[in-house]
Amino acid sequence: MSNDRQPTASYRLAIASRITAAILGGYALATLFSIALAGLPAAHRADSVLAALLLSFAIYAAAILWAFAARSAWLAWLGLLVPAVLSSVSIWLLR
Amino acid sequence: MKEYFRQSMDWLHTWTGLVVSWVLLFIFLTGTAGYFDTEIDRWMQPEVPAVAAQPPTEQIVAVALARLRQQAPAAERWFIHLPGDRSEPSLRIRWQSAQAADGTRAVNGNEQLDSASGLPTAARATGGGQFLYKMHYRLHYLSKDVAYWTVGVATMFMLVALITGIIVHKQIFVDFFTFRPGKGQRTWLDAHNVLSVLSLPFQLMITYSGLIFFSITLMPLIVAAYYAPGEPGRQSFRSEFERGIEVKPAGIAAPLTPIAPLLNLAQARWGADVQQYRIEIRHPDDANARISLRHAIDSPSHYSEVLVFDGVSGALLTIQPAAASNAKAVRNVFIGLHVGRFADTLLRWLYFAFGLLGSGMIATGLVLWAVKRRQRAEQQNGAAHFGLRLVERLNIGTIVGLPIAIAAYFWANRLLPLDLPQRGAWEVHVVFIVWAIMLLHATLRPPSRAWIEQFGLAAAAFALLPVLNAITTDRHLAHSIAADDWVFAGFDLTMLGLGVVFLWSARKLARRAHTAVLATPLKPGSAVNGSAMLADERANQANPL
Amino acid sequence: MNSILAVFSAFALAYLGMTGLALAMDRHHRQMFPSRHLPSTRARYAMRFASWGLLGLSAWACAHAWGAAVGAVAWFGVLMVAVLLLVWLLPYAPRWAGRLALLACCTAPAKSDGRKLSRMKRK
Repeated sequence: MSNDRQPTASYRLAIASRITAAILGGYALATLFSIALAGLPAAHRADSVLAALLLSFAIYAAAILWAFAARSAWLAWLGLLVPAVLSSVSIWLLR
Repeated sequence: MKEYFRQSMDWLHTWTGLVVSWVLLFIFLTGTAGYFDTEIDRWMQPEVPAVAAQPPTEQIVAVALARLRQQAPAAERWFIHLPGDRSEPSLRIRWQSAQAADGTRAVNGNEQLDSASGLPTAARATGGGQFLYKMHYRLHYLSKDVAYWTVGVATMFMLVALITGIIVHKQIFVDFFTFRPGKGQRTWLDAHNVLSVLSLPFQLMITYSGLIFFSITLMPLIVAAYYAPGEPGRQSFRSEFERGIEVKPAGIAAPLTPIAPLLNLAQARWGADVQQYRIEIRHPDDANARISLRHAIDSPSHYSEVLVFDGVSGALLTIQPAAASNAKAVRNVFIGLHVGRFADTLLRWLYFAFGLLGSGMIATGLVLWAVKRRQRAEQQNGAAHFGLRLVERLNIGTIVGLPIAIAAYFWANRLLPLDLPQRGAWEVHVVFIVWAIMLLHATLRPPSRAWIEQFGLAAAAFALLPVLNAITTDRHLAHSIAADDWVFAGFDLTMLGLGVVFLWSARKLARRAHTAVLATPLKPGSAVNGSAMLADERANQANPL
Repeated sequence: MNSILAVFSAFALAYLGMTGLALAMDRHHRQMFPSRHLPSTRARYAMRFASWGLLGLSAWACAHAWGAAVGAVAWFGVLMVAVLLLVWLLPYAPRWAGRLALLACCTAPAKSDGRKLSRMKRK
């Protein structure tokens, strides 16, 4: 991400892809992961939902960081997709 | 490997910081002022005398109830905020009608009353410090949803900027005390680092807790997954935390029980040094009326336990703890730390200082970016990018221009005619009109001149406020000090202090600009060094701080 | 604010502790004592240990002044002010940074605990 390089089309695409992954993909992951957390067995559903709400932003922040720290844009998406799928499975199982 | 990680985090830090920093500066400046919201309220209503001794609580409750019956006999809820500490300096009543399916309430009123007469305090119409504080999360001229989403997004960006900033700061411990003045770009970096690291615990807390305030709005799907979608689902989620108080009105009229014995019971339970109460009456004058009592908060947990009484018989029905679960307790502490309601005078000044440090963190970050880019543009002999010119102008107009606009709020409070219709709204319009003028000025003048001129204007705008106060009211500084009125005196002195800081900045910049004109000639044979020096100097001209 | 003395001690102890931590670093040691030798590794560890102890005492003083919960919050503010003061003094008036530390030594043990004085390795 050095600024001396003249930005090529593929570089711009990679950046745009990462930004999309971070903002949209990260939000989707944070939401799904939090819904999965809230679905875990708990005394009161309201409390587990509240706990999930509290944690959701930390997950979102981590996802955003991952989207840019990953070695490639593809890996960025993959790294968000895998936990998202696992979360979805967990939500479906606990329904 | 590690270098790539650091570079990517550096890039992310720069861009998440840059894109939202001017909005964040608005949030920080209004929010920091908000820690002294009631003090600013009182300065902006000089007609209201300094708080005198309060009549006995029974009498206060009686006048409040009488006024509520007169103003809102059909309301679903009445609130009586008893006067106590600086957070509730006078008697306040509120009333609300029932919440509709979309979350809105048809009727939503409040009044500040004189405790003795039970009539609204006669003072100039103003939004006061409360409105300044409210703008820090509600912004202005935007719908509630747009405002909440804007603030939410800006806060999320700031959270990422904070975390990436920590990752990127190579020598966070070694450079903990490092500040090297007079070295151009490096000084700016040192300043940004010091201000950020020093206030880091506060910044992380304020950012994350800020998100928590909006958690239901920003992450609606989590609630929707387990409750109904949309507003009905959110309402049923919220009501889960009010178990025991919710009840439907019976539709049968019944007299309200006397509240004084209930207050005595609460006082006995909570101790004599717990002063201020909030009384909530649901379905007043109905057979199913409920009276809830809460006490003032003196710890970061922000919420008190609630005593719920039957509104007709006066029997104690339930005691709702402040936090029925760990999750609620954690949320309470986050909210409590953010709002700082528990803070006494010294602690409140510390909160204020942290807010200023945060504003400084943002401002130094902005200036650092502009200085770096300007220097690079000079060295590469390229024309300044449009983005760079935009950032430089926005910096001047916001870092100095916005404080000028806030000072203008106070000027408007003293100068606008008292019988002006929509007076309170116009005071706020003045803020944004002046901010726009400052941004325009920053666009029209060369940057180095614009910085000096705006700093000079800020110095005058703040330092002359106590003078304006003396001319337009009789509660001037000498009078306030003599009368031990430290709210008024504190405000005047703070404005004076801010004016002095701005004046010092203006003079320092003016001196630097003067010596730059008499720049020493470059040494021969040091072409590379020379051009770097020249670029640095030109960068300082554009951002001469 | 319960005890003005406790609040003052908290600030004084925080400033002392932070000055100690700064002194354990070469750059700042040279700033404050340009003519003295740099401290040995063992002296550095001792200074850091003592400084952290002073910061801990500052936290205790905050708890004494404000109560445990509020005191914990106040402590961060107290530390911030102490460091801000030190960071401002070091480049502009480094000798005053040291002089203020000496002054803080006298005012910090406001509860007359002799052990505090001996813990501070003053150079």
